[in-house]
Amino acid sequence: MKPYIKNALMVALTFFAMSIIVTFACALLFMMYTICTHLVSGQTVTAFDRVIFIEGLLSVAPLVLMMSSVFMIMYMIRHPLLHWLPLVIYAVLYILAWSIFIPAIFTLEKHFEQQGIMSTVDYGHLSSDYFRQYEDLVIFYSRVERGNLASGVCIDVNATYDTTYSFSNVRLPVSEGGFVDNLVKSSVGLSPVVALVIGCIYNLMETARFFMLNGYANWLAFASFGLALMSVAGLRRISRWRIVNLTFVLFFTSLIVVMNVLSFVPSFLTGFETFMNGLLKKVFNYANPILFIMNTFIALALFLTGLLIDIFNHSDDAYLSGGSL
Amino acid sequence: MKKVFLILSIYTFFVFAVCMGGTFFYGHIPALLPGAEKSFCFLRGLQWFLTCLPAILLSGFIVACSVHWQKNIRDSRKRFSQAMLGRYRNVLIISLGLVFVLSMNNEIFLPSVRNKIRVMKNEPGELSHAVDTASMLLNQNRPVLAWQYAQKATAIDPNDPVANHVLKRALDAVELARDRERRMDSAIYLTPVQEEKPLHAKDHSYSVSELVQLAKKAVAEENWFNAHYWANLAVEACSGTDTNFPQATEIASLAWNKLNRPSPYERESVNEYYAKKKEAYNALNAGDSLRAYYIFHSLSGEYTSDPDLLRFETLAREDVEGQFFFTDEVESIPQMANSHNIYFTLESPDGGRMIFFIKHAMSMRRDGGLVRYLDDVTMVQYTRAGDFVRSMHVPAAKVIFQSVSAFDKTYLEENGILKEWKNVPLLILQSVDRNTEGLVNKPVYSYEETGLPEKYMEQLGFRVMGKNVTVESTSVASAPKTSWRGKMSEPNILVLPMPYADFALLTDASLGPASMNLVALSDFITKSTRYGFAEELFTENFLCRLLYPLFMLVLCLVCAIVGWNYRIEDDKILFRFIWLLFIPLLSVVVFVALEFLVYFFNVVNFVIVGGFGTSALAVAFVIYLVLFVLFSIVFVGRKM
Repeated sequence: MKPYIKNALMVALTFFAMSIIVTFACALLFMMYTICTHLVSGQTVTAFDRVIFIEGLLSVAPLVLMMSSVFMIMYMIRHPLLHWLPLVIYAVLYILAWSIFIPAIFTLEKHFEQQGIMSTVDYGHLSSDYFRQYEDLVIFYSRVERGNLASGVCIDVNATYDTTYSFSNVRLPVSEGGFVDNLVKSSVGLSPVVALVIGCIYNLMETARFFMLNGYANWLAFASFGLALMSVAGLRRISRWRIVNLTFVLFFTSLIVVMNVLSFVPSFLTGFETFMNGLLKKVFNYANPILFIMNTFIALALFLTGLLIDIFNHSDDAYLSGGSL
Repeated sequence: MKKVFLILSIYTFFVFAVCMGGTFFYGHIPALLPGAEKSFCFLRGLQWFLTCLPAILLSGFIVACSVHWQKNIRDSRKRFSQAMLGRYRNVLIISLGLVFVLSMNNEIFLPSVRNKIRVMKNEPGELSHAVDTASMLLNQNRPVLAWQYAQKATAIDPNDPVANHVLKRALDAVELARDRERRMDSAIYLTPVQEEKPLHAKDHSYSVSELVQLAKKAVAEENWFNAHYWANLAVEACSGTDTNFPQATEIASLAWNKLNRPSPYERESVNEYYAKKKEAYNALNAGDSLRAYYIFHSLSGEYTSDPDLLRFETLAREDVEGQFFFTDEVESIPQMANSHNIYFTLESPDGGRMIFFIKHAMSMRRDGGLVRYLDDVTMVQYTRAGDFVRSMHVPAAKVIFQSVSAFDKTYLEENGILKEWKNVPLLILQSVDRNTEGLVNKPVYSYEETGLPEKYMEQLGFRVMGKNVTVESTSVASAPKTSWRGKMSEPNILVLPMPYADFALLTDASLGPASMNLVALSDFITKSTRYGFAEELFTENFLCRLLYPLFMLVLCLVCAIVGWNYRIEDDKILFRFIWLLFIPLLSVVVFVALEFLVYFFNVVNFVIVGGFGTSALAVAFVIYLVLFVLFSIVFVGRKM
């Protein structure tokens, strides 16, 4: 088999294999995290929950497909080959992901939601006889009844006088920062960096769903984000040191994600964005046209950069045989 | 591999310099004690550096591997080559070194720097707390405690003018109080308790015949106090049929008659001294050892030549120390400045709960044993059903160890004490002044719930049952219950149903599992639920910390694989310096990736602990071992 055909097939295999493996791994972690958010100290953990796992699959699959470009680029950096076929396969698969796979998964997710198949959280009541810390306050519930009705002691560890208060018959909040039990949160709550990244991803996925629900044309406009991500492949041969190429690809992918997320949520870009969108709405009939233009511009710039790199820098590489671009 | 070390070392030093430069430029220094700013900046820079250390070392390792494997790799054209096995060995050696450094960082360096920063940040608060408390206690006319808090304040910052001013006020107040108390009579009622008493123990170790001999000797010397004392001990020690019994009774009776002569001496001053000594001796015999102690103590200052006085004062002091402690013993309170809040629960024998909160604690060696002094102790008691019973508060307490063998079987059963504990903590809640009778700190018992102030209700998101949070009163969420007032004794001494050694564990456990060392943590896991701490949290922390080296070893292998896969393409290309500028970017990527991986490591371990209980450690170990083997195979299977 010719090297470029093998390389192109491996790109396709990487896309499918990595998408499936990463989706399953992420869904498993999603399930574990969700189980922890429902957990109360003293309870036994259910190791596997089918409904939450399926919910996890449907939640993370679109994200993994959006990021599948990175897997394929990583393969192309690892196995550099100056031929158009792997790149074409890369582009076709990624476009397929955005135009068919991701919308199909969103539709399936919506269908599951409407059928009531998705899990509904059954918030139980907290367990008694444990100390729980809430910032400077330490609480000990001597009794917790149905409906989270509790009695106990509250200790203000920073107070100078009157440090300890006893109380009874108060109703506790159902959840604390997404977790039913603050004790579990103290152990497996998100770290600041992870919370920041997850927050970004959450906003991204919510926006993707929003565009999906507003028609296919809007979805295609949102897919300009995918176009920008796809064009990052242009940086795959920016230097002869592959780790530099990989770092650049990961860095630019993150940059494009952050930029798009910042334009979806209120940020320092909001004023400029609103003004520009006001002007552009007269020409383009969908939400956030400035983002479409920005992503298209980035895609074009990265594509041209890649083209120039491939043509001028490494066209004489003897070992990258398999035909020239 | 020299190049690998060189790149790693230079890059690590570079990041250290950046962190140090950054912390001084960054500013944002919190409120600290005067002059502590530079130390704080240095520690903060060090904390940044140590936090980034795993990302620095791992990204450096990737870079070093990918540079090192640019050349001489033509011997690995096929998978599982011999050359790759050699590389695997080198990778393992370096990885073990990295894992050692990272584990030390995780267990020792980073926690100790964080702790120092925490202490520095807390110092201004501790200072103002000590000054405020001293002032409040002065206003409440509790000068001895106020003096100790003022001492604590000056220990935190010896140059603070306010702390020094309060210390001077407190010292004056203590002197005034001592003068006042010397002119007043006061009655203190005692509760006898068994306690370690060296002199008592020594005296009780004599046989009956030895005691009778000692009594006879005292009679010959006309020392009637000693004669009565030894004869009395002999009578107590005699069994019903002991042949020494009549003789001991006779001497005791003779000595008592001699002691009760109205004016045995010619000189009036000697008679006065004798009367006081007799009064103290009678008090000692009647169990009023505190009164006896004060009289003996006042006489010992005046009559230094009487050897009996020292003996009887010691006997009285030993008795007193079983029921009270001296407020000046808490002179170590200044050293409690950076100790922390301790909380735990104990199950009472009836199935109820006692919740303890101690503001500060301090251990020290005294009288040949380890004692603890506690500052600001609160105990809240609940019934088995979780209903409030009462609360107790005392500003200072002393903990001594009490041998379990001193209790009989019924007492042990009634109080839920197990014989195998050997020693249990005995909390002495009353303190007295060493020189002046009447300066007493006693525990205060309350049988009413305090309720929860509204600011806490809001902070915690609590609601009063059936209503939304808006309640006009300042204190809500308390309900009138059956009052236990008058139905329970109010002890000044508490024997805690727990092993004495666990007290030290609880001090660390209150700060959370991360602050405990691994040995203490493994010891505490099975006990955690008994003291009100969630076992799964402590087990998960133990598991994470124990398996962290293996997890990092797996990550090192992954880094080596990345280093191989993304090495410099062509072995003829010269290394370009400009490439090194990308390393910080790679470190950022590795930092974010590590944050995620360590987080997932935590979550997976938590689920394993929750799902597998006691065998969680074995299950988790097998999982990470399988990962290690898997990545080892992947690495050895690399080819050009």
